[in-house]
Parts: sequence; structure tokens; C-alpha cells
Amino acid sequence: MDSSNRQSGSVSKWVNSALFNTESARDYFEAFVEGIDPMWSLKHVKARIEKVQKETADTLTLTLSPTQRFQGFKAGQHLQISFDINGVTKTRTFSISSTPSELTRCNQLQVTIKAIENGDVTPWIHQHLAVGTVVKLSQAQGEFLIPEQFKHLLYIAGGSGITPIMSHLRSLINNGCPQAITVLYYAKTSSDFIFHNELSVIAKRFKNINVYFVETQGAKHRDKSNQKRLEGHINEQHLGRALETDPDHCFICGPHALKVDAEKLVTEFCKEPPRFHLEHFGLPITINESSDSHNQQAFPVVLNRSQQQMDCDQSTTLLEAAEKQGLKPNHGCRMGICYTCKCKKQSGVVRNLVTGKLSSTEAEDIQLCVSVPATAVELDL
Amino acid sequence: MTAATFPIKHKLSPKQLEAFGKEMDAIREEVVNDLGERDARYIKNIIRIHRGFEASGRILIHFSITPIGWSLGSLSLGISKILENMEIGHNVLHGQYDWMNDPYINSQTYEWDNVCDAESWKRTHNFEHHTFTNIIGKDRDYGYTAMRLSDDEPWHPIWRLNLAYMAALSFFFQWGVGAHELEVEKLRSGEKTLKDKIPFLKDFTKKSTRQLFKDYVFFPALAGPFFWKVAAGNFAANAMRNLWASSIIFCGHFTEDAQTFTEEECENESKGHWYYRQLLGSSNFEGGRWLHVMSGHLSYQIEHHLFPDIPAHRYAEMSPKVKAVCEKYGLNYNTGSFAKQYGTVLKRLWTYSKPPKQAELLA
Ligand code: FES
Repeated sequence: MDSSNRQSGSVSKWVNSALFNTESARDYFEAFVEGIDPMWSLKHVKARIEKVQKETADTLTLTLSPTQRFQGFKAGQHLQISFDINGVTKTRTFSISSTPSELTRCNQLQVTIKAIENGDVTPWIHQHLAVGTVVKLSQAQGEFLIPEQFKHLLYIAGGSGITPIMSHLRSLINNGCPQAITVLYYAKTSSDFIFHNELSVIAKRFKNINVYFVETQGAKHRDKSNQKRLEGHINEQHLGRALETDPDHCFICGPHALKVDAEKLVTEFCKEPPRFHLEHFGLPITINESSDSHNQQAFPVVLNRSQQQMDCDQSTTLLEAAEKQGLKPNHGCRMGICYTCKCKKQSGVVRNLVTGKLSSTEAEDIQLCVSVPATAVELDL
Repeated sequence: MTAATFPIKHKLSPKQLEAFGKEMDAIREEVVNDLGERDARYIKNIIRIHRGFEASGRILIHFSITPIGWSLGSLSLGISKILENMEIGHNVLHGQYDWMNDPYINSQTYEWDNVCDAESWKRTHNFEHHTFTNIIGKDRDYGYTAMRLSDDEPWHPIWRLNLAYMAALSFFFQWGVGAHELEVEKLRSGEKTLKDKIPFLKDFTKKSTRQLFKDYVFFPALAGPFFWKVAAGNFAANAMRNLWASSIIFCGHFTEDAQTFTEEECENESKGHWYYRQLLGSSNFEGGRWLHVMSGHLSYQIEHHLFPDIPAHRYAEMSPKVKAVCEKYGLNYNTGSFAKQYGTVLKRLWTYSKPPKQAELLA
């Protein structure tokens, strides 16, 4: 049964490739269908932007209504959104901040997005994204999920890391959760807390939920009456003040440094360390642009397919470096015109020597013969 | 111009070449910075138009009961194949739209409606032909080793049929292009063996089988008793595309004034000289908008060779700028009407079908 299925699958694949020169007829007709109505698609989840709402100076919440093809999500999951920015499809990953029940009820979901300085997607979203725009979505994914059983949940969030946690809290409240929940929320200043009002209301209304807003910089006008007020980077006192009992699950989402510190401190603090849940997907990589062309710094390059690692400085192209390593990547002109050397960069940033431009941080195709690394890079080579 | 007078190359000093190269870079840069929405919309529209022509062509052929319906259907299908090969396939495979980040409109994944396998095409065309353009002995597209186009190629009585070879190649162009990587001439000289060619032959067979299945098995079979009507319509459409594509391409490099280069000239070539060679080795032709679109903008062969990875519909706006720079450096910008350029191709083939002496006498 199984093998005959597979066989008919490969036969239909062959027929499709013969008739349409694509693996499936959908690829062939997609452009056509999309031309009739941008919300139509034979293969992708599409979504319309229904609302754009400012949260803080540099964050906003998008409300999206996805098409039927969307299979739903669990609280805490993230998804990829592809925007068409001046003809270029750019894809980024965002955590969902709304609840699954809201999706079932009114077919809407929300993501909260922080504008990353020098980024090429998030600032565009903030400045140009208009209500009515159609975007592409991936299905939801991620393991940052509410545990089936728990006694005390500890959430530690940094900056926009609050988004998946918000989805958790809203769902937990919807389901009338009686267990203890502690939230330690770190942000630079008081005006940088996203969902500040909603979180304060939650903390007031539900006895079992404690929320601590911690300013890491310049907590000037401290509210003396508020005993819960903490400040500075995460430390033992914060945990001591916030935790009356040991949590059995600890969720951390925020910048890398916070994740490392928080995990260590919590482990030391608790008699019995909780289960940790970390949300891993990336925060922006910063590149030192100032010392540019004179920078001879070498970066580690991981070649995933051949399972090798090499160092490549910024005057050696990735093609040359791979060849020195003994590999024989496909290539032709070695001058950026024939595209024979194209290869998927899975992570990291490269500079294109012809245009001088830096690539994005996401996975994308690059030309090895004219690319030099600008950060650590992973290649599908 | 009277007889075959091929102008001597206008030499530029290394300094001039460098400056010339910089000017070309600047023209390129300007367009690169402007790429966006407009280009994405353009190619997506062309894809939609192509789908329309293909569907209506196949439907018309299928249901036609009169020769008129059949002819219109074949014409429509022929147009769709031309559009797909020239304006979509050729250009997408050059990576002209890779910046869009669209997995379908991408040089790495695109496969075109042609018996030539896209991977093989990228090797022989994008790399060999575009890198070594018009270098005798290295650019195998120069005459496709089936025609004699200059005295650099030794004369032999078989070349008396130069024009007949051209006609044959035109009619079966997609097969010529598809089998190009077989390098028959190298097999004959013993430089390569058939064994070297097994991987290529496998891919070529796979791809051409699929194409044959589509046009001569699947769609004809759908018509049941009218099998032959559909097969004939599809054959006509393929032939139409072959003749058209080959004519466009011959006009690109085989015109009277198109220059050739030797390997020595191009050793350790600078970027400036590369541009210079691309310019002098290519020729444009003029015409209305439809002619440009249907030629995949290879009517701007010069611009295409200077900027092979820039979306082709941009060549029209780049052309006056390139022309101006050429004037500044006293370089020939080879252009003329389609008929005139095609005429000079025929003339060139006729000239070189004769032994060198006679050619000289003619000159
Ligand atoms: S080898 Fe030709 S583009 Fe890189």
C-alpha cells in the first residue's frame, strides 16, 4: 500500500514536471491565481493586515487574518511572515502574542514587533506597512509551550521577549488557571514595557499572578509605595523577592545574555531546578561597520553539508576559502556574472564585493565567488 | 556598406579601458539601486500573459475544427513558447530576478519549456558563452561549431554548405542547444570521450523525454482520435519558436560587424577589457516594443552582454547611456533594423562559405 502510494506520487511528480516544468502544477498556476486576488494561493497561507497598533515608541502589534490554509497554533509558538518590500520577498520570524481561542473565535492573530535599528524589515514595517496589505505566513512552529501539568510557572522576559509569554498568560487566564505564576519582565526604561497596562491589570485582578517590571537602566522616579519595584539586571535579590516557592517550570525569552544569566541564577536559587524552556530564535546580530574594508578579521564558516569548518577573512571570497579547504564548489566565471556558484547561506551575514552590500541575517542564496563573511556564517555546502 | 568589410578593432589604452569600465559600472549601479517593485511586477505579468497564451493555444488546438482555429491555436502556443524561452526562461536562468527572493523565479530552481536541460544551459550559456564571448576557440556559441563565421576557422569544402547548416540549425534550434554540451567536435578530435558525456546525456535524455511526452504524447492523446491534429499543432509551435529564437540569437553575435577575439588578447583580462569585448562582440537590432519583448530583450544584445544579470526589460533605458559612452570612446555601437542585421548575418555566412582567398577578393 505504502509503496504503491509512493509510486503514484513519483509518477504524478514526473507528469507534473513534464507538463509544467515544476514539481507540482500549483507552482505553475500560482502566479496566475495570485494575479486575480492576492489573497488567493494554491500553496501558501496568506493573511491580510487588519490593524496596526502602536505599543511603545519602537514596538507595534499587527493583527492578521489568515486564510483557511492556516492550521492554527499553540500559545507560545512563532511563525514566519513574508513581506513584499519593494519587489523583494523578505521573511522574518515573529512570536504570536494573541491566543489560539481568539483565532478560532474571530480568525485573527497578533504579532508584536520591535523595530530593530538598521534592520531591513522591521523599520519598514513600522514606517510603511499599511492596513490591507497581504502577506504570506508559514505554519506555526516552536516548542515554547505551556506544560500540561505544573504547579508554579516562572516567566523571565527581556524586551520584546514578552510576546510569546503574553500569549501564554492570556491563554492561562482564559482557561481560569489557579496555579501560581510569576513574571519577571526586564526592559530598559519604564516606557519600554510592552503591554504594560494589560500586565498591570492582570497582576491586580489575579492573586495567583505576580508581575514584576524591572527597569535595567535609569529607574529614576521610583514609586516608593510599590514594594514590588525591582531594578537593574537580573540578580539573586530579584529572584529572592519574586519567588515565594520554587517554580517547576521556567520560561525565558529575551536577549542572549539574559537567557544565560537567568538560567544560571535560577538553577542556583532553587532547591530543585525547574524545567527550562528557552525561546531560541534570533535577535539581531550587530556588525561593526566602522572599520570596514581594513578589517582583516577572520570569521568561522561552517560548511554543513560537508561537515567541515574553516576560517575565512574578509579579503578571501567564500569560494576561494572553500577551495583551499579542498572542496570543489560549482563555479564558472568567478566574477559574479554567471551565478553558477550560488549556494544557500543558512545563517550569518556576508558582504557582496560587487555591490558592497551586506546580506540579511536570514537563510538566502548568495554567490560564493563574490561574497566574503561579515559575521560567522553557515553554508549549505 | 558594400562588401564584407569588417572594421579593425578600435584599440583603447589600458587607462582608457579602465575608465570605460568605470563608466559601465556606473550605468549598472544606477539600475541596480533602482531595482524593485516595478521589475517584480513586470516579470510576474509576463508570466501571467504566458499562462494565458499557453492555455488558449492548447485549448484552441484541441477543439479546433477548421484550419483557421488550428492555426490560431498553434500561433498562440508558439507565442507562449517564445515568451517562456526568451523573456522568462533565458532571463530568469541568468539570475536577473534572483534578488526578488522568489523561489519560483530563481535561476537555481527554474526549468524552462525547452528540450535543453536548464543546468546544462547554465553551463554552456551563462558560463562559457557569457564569460568567453566571441573568443575564438573558447566561445562554442560562436557559430555553434556548425557554421563558419570567420577566417580564424580553417576552410574546408564542407563549409560550402554554410547556409544550409544555418537553416538546419534554425529549424531544430532547441535540439542544437540541448545537445550543445555534448561537444561533438571534441568527441571527434578525441579530446573528450563519450564516457565523459554520460552524465550530460542522462540529463539531456531525461529533459527531452519530458518535453516530447508533453507535446507529442500527453496533449495529443487527450484529443483521442484527433491525436495527429494536436501533435501537428504542437510541432508547428515548436518550429515557430525554434526559427524565431535562432534568428534572434544569430543577430546577436554573427552580424557583419561583430568582432572576434583571440585567447592571447584576453589573457589576464581586466574588467574594462571584458566590457569592451562584450560590447564589440555583440549587436543590437531596433524595433517596436513587441519585438523587444518577444526577443526577451535580446534585441539589446549589447546591453545584455554588458549586464547579463540585470532584468532585461531595463536594457531599453540603459541603451542610450551605453551608446553615449561608446561615442565618447569612439567605439562602434552595432545596431540596425532586424531585417538589416539578419541580412548581414546571411552575408557573413555566404562570405565564409568560400575559401579565404575569395573572401579577401570580395572585400
Ligand atoms: S562563479 Fe560565476 S557568479 Fe560566481
